[in-house]
Amino acid sequence: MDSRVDDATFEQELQKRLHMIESPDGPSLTVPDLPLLDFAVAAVGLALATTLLMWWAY
Amino acid sequence: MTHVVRRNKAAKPVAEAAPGDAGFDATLTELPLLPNERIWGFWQHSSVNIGLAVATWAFLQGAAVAYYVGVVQAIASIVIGYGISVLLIALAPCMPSVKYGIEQFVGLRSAFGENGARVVMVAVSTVLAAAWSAVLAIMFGHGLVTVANQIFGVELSESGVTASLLALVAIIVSCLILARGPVSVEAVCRIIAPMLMVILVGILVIVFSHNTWSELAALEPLGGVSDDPHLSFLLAIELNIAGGFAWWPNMGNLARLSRSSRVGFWPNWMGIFGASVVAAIVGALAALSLQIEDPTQWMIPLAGAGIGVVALVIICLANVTAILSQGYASMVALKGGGGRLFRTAAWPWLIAVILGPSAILVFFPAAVYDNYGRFLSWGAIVLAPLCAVQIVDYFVLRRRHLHIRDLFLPIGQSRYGYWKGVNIVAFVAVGAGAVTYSLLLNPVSYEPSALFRHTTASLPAFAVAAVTYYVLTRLVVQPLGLGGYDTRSARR
Repeated sequence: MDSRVDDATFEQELQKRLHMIESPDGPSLTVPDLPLLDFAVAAVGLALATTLLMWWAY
Repeated sequence: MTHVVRRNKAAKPVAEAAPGDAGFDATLTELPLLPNERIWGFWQHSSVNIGLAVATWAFLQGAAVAYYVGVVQAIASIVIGYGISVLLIALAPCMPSVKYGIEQFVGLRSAFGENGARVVMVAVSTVLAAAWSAVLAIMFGHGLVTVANQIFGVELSESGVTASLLALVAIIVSCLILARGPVSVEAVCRIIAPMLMVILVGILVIVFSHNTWSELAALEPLGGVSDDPHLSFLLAIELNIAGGFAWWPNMGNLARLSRSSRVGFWPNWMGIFGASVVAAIVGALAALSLQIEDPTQWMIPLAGAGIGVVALVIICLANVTAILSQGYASMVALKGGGGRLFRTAAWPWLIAVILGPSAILVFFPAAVYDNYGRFLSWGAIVLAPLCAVQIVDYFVLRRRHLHIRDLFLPIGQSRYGYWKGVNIVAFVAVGAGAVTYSLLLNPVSYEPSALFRHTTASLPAFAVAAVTYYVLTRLVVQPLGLGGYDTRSARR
């Protein structure tokens, strides 16, 4: 099994993709950031679980 | 790792592949991914995450925790410890990788510079992968020695040369399977993973059918009742924070394949948090109910000689699949983020780089397998500060914005060039974090300091690295105009 990519092919493909990223009209390669609410739900949920477990474990 | 769950996508068996070829796979390179190359929705990412988490290392984790605490505190420490580190890992490296579709060590160039990120990648991918593979191979050797002792009535030593030679066999078999490529890796993992799930459920059923909850909750830790139960609880939490941070080298490249940031974030809570927690708790329950630390010694007392031997053989095979998953993820990381040297390297050479050191380590089981807690802390010493530096760089200093072209420009032209491609400040911050860790918890003797009982070691190491990186970047890097932090240039 081998999947080596030669330098020229890699460079050509890289330039194509970078151009797409920077082009305002092209398809977007980036996805929107994680909503802050998602992080807040995870962090608060973890904090609550930690508090509850600390109380239970002592 | 990608190919562990991708069917019929074997890379082209020719010297070199090109875009448009059936064999070309951008996920095996450091190229930013196109939308159609982001192949995972929520459930696909979750299933891979769960498959990775439910492996034999979860048994070792549970047993290590059981050494310090009983059942109740084991459950609490596993949930708290894994929760903290998974939350941080789900931020970085996962978020930059999923936002831009970039290989995680390419994303790290914004903080460490191109050469610096490569040093981190090679060190993390080779040293940790070799060490983890050795741990799993030694567990394989222990298991087969137990099987041989049971079936043939011999009394081979689990820490003797026979066990090490059998561990070497596991490494060699893993090399042969890896050499055949991703399809064979996937096929082996697809067979073994469900069997391991059945064993987990079986252990749970047997433990609870022989013990009431009150009996389980009253069991003493394997290391005996401590004079300082609070310290033991903190050591157990630290073990689990370190266990979670051990996933840092792999998770960004999994998130990279996700179709949205949410899909890159939440499956970590299904897999390396949820599944790891369940599997480690099952391990702790088995260890405590039998009062035996080595997971390879649990099956026969739990299930009897017949079923126990079969379960043990499955666990031995599961160790091989875990080596394959770990080895494959590291090779993909090397190929994707290791620059031209690794991108153009043949597969067997990469296998030798990753698994060669493991073949030596298996002859020194005391260095890794017999000191699992210390082994975890050696990883966390570096991984917690690494995670901190990337979170501060990406979320605080760069406000979640990277210049992708600059990640690939030559060092002299890139805003992430720093000092000859190395951001010394990032390494100073990681060093400060590592020193903090070592002062709080001696990584050699595993002796905690007085302060440890209030702080753990990974969390202060994380905090010190984060603050050091932030302060030095503001005071040194930005005034020198390095790192592309200048707002005027950032807006170009």
